[in-house]
Amino acid sequence: MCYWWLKLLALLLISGLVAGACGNDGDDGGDIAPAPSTDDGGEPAPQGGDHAAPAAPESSGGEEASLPGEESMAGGCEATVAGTEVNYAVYAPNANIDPTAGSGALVGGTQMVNVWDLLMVFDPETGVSSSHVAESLTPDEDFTEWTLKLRSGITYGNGDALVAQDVVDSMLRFFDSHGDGMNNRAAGSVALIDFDNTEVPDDRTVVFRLHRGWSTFPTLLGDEPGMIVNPRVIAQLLDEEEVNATAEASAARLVRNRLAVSPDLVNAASFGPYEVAEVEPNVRTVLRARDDYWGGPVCIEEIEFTFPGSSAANWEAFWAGDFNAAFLRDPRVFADAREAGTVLSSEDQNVGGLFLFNQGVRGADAIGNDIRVRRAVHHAINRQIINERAFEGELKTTNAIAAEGTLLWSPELQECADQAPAYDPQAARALVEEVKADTGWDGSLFLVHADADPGAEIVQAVEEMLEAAGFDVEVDLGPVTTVLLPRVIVQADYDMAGWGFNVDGAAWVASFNDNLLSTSGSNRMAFGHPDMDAALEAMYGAATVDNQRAALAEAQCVWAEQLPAMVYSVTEEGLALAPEVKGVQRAGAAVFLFGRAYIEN
Amino acid sequence: MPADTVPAPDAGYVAGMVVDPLSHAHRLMRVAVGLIGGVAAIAAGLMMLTDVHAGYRVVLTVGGLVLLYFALDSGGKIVWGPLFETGLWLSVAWVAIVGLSAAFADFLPFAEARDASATIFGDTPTLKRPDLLSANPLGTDRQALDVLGGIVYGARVSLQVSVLAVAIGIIAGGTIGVVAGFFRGKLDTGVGVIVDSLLAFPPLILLLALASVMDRSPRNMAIALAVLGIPTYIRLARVSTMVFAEREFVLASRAMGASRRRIIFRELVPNVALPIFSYAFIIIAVLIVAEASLSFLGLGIQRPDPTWGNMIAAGQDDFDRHPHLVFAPGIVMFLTVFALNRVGEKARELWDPRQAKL
Amino acid sequence: MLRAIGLKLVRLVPVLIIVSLATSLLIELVPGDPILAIIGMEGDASDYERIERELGLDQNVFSRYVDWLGNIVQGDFGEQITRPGVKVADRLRQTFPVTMQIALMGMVLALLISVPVGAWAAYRAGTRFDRLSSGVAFGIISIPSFLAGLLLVFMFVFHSAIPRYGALGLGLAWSLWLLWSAGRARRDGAKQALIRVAAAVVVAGLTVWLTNRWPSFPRQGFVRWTSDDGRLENLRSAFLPAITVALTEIAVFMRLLRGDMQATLQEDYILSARAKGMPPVRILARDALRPSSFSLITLAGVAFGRLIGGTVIVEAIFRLPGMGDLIVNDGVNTGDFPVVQSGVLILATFYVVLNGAIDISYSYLDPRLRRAR
Repeated sequence: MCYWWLKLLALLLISGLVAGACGNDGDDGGDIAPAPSTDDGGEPAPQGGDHAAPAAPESSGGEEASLPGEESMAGGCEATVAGTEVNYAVYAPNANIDPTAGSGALVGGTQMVNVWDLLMVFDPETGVSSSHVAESLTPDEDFTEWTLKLRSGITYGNGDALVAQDVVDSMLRFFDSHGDGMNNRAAGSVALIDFDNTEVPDDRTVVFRLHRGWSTFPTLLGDEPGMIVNPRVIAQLLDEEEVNATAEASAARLVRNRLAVSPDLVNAASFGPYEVAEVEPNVRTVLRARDDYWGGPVCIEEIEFTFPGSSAANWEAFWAGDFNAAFLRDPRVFADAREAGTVLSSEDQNVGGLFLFNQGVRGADAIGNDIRVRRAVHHAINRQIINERAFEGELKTTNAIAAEGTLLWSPELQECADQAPAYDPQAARALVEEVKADTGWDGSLFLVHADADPGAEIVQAVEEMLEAAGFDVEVDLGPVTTVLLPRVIVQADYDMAGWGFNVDGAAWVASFNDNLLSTSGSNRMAFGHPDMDAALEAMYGAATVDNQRAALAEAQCVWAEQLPAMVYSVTEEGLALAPEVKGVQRAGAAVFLFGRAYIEN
Repeated sequence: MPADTVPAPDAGYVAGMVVDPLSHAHRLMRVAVGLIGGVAAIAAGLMMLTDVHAGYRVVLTVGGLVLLYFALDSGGKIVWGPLFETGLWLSVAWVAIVGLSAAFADFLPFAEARDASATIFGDTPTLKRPDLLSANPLGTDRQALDVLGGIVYGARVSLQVSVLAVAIGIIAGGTIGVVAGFFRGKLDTGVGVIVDSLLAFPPLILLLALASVMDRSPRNMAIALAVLGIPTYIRLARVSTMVFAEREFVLASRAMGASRRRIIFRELVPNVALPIFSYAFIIIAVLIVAEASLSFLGLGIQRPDPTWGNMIAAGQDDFDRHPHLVFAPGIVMFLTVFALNRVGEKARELWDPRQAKL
Repeated sequence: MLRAIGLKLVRLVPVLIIVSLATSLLIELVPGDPILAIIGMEGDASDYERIERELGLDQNVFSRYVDWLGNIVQGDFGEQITRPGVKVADRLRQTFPVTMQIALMGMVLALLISVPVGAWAAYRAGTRFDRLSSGVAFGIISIPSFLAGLLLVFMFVFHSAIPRYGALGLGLAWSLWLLWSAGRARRDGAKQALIRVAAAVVVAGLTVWLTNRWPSFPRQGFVRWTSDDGRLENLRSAFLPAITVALTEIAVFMRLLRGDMQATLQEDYILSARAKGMPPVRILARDALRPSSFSLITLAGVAFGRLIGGTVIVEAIFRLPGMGDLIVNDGVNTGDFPVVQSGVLILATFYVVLNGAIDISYSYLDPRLRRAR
């Protein structure tokens, strides 16, 4: 009989335990949000609990009394707050931290800017550059002479003081790097500086003289050339490496290689808000607050940059609480983030989705040279179908080189953009037939595209529409480095290629000139038209935003007439931020300054 | 599905069936109730209660399947005796269904499943949810292509690739293995080194390299996967040959002065072939998974040729929002691999004298 | 013994040479081009040949291979082409431990689960437990590991309530079943019943404790064993990948052990122990496990060697900076041959050495084979 008592006792004990568990569960219900429903409406929000956000728990310890709180958004704190950490999901694996080796803002732009700092900072909202390490930058009336004043009292990590000559030396290194195996996108623009006539009247002043008037010159100093590398450190390294240099590897390159792997050298040669603490190539870069930053105390102790693999991966990991800052670049991911109410700091880059037409690169006999073919493609492709089939309707499609909503868009520009051939499969078919009849061309078109998601879907949709118009499409879909770059850049073996100019608000003049000028080395299509060259030339002189808009509208009119390529969308890129991360400053579409960032309790 | 894999009939289990206290009529009744209830539950889960929460429908469907299984199990045991292996026969039936529908896909009334250009001016919506009573029973994908049709055509490619790969593997690996096992000596050592090298080479990296070198047609995929299987076949054939070469009938024909060729082809090959063939089902299952894994890494056969792997890979980005894109091909692949494993296990039991030893 | 080791080592050399030579030929065929990876989207076609010359990439495969082999013999793994200045040896030192840990944890987990389940299934062959466990094993083998990984992420990272309350329900059901069976076990004696009641309470307690302290897992990434975040973080980040790796192995090991164990259980000495009324756990653990585990050890060794080179998919799902990621993304995709060459060499060496060691220890451990020698 006693067993029944035992069982009852045990049952009671168990139910007690369960009740305890449930009660307990109720207590810290906020800790682990119960998400019993399996649909995506569930709320596995970055759990502020024990494990999810590494920044949260320690930041509550001790220092909050010293936080000024709301009053000074810029300051945020009076000293580095121990334990505060930003976990940043980057878009591409880290690269060499040396600015002359940088290959675009997407690859390590944010890491660089937080280590080297910038002379000027471009504000994408207003289109105006404001001084940062520079105290001021003033042009003469025709924008050929720019006078730069530096802040005083800035010292490098090794104790050297920043002087005006450093700016010139650093930029000269940039200039020299071109033609040394480096392909920095800004190097071409640095070549516009007339170094022979550039003067350094005193330790805080540089007078830049340019080969031509350039109204948006300050944006160059807000890009990689605006990151000053202590030339004395470089000179010493060059001396050291001179003995190792060979015909194959110049000393300058060996120095760059050493900077890539030696945080100590980088820290000695830089003065930005953070120092490099650790670099694990392709995996992570850890930055740590510099205690004597000129811009005041850096609140966040550590930023760790890791590379999850793609926008979708970044977002997923951010959502799971692995990161409190994640770089995004996919419209579908942005839609998810917006739906979730995430804090976003993003920008639309113009001419993001684009098809290049080979118009006879290096004298090739390309069918794209016939404007009727380019027109037929424009008629054949419905941007909305690309959007639906590849981007689930979340892509911001456009037919203009500056989309509505971006800074340089204007009604005049849109009017010109609308002159370009619109979707009209009948007209496309007629044009294809006409060209076939005239030239004996069999309708074949070689389409090259990167396979990064959703490349396959884009290609399928486009292929379908082109074939419906009578083209005979052959596709090569594959990784950027094994398909797109060899086909487009090296062999110029393509008729149509998925591409993107990704023109941001800052470097737009250089971007359009590089890609469209008939004499440019980065003109991948062999497109060239005197009207376009004139319009591109005019961009350099446009001083006010209104003038810039007019210049761009002019280029758009020529574009709509000549159809060098087919634009279909903008590319949105930017950062998803956890709500507690504040004070992050955008210095470009993909570049974020964390010098004044802090973590709010 | 509990799979009864005990090689010997199990005493307790059989005894349990023999002393079943229920009368014959009673058991028939139970089967009938189970069948009707199971089918009804599945039908309700899949079709009717479309406005009910998905979780409940899944529970209902799975419950129906379990009920159906037990009904079939008892029914089978009534008809074919207590040793009837329901799981095995269900597996055979599933493999047959997949194989036949793949073979006759062209004659089955699917909505457009392969040619995306045909859907562009059609009115089938993209990303349609599964609805068993519509023209797209399992919904549509991003290109408005029919998922069910994709699965069936995918079965064709997946099966083609893996069967072809196994065939190449058996012929190439089997030949080398028999020769090495028969002649022994230096030749055997050389083959051993090469087999070791192939096995030491990280398999996925070998596949990556092969897949990126060759045009990704089903045939080339099959070759790439075959290369992966060859060392296993060499080992199997070599060991079997060595075992058989010592057996009386071989020794006897040697003593009678039979030529080497005759010994190999008349005596050894028929005996070695059977155990090797018995592995074929399991290896086909492994290769279906391997092909899907390659697709997951973006190195498999490319759309528009559907395979289960590239269908799952295309759907997995938006797994949360459009689960049918992953689950429909995923479940079919799971069931097929499961069934092939089950059938393969039985085949090994029957044909491989060395049985479970790998 | 020494002779056997010597023979294995002699055989290692041709295998590694064949593997590395094959690697360099494959790399030559793969379209990945390190120069294009360096040039990038901003580059210029005119840079191509210059960079090719600078990096010495205009040599042919064989002279490149001989150069590489010469350096390897001197212990120099060279530099990564696409990341100038970065030593391949450093990359290997960073990535190998990651892969190693995942594979090792996967194996340990697989053995921890498969050994008791397999042994019990053999002991109770033909029962519901046996059939259920082998059915589940079949099911698990049939799930491709990438799908299993995605499902684990779905459940443990994004919808952690499913496994959490699932575990609660299962645990409570188990403990209730134990209670129920305690009632039935009464006729076997008070001690049996008491043990079961106690077990029920312990199971319920553990379940509730686990539900309360349900760990959260990161979606991706890897925290190093040596990092400042501590060991626990490391285990947390490695857990889901390790389980993913373990899943298939669990099923395979279980079935293998069950088969061997069933044979062992038919041996006379076991039957007599059973007849004497020894508790089953004791029979299984003390008497039957050792003689039944030889093929399991062999297979586990082979599987471990294979896993070291085969965690590419798991590394891709959980974005772990392991060897697979290094070789595929940094190597094959960009045609960076020093990385691929050296990575494959390390993996192949590991595989061959491990297998050799297993062969040798196997013959050493198994008394039957030792006598045969």
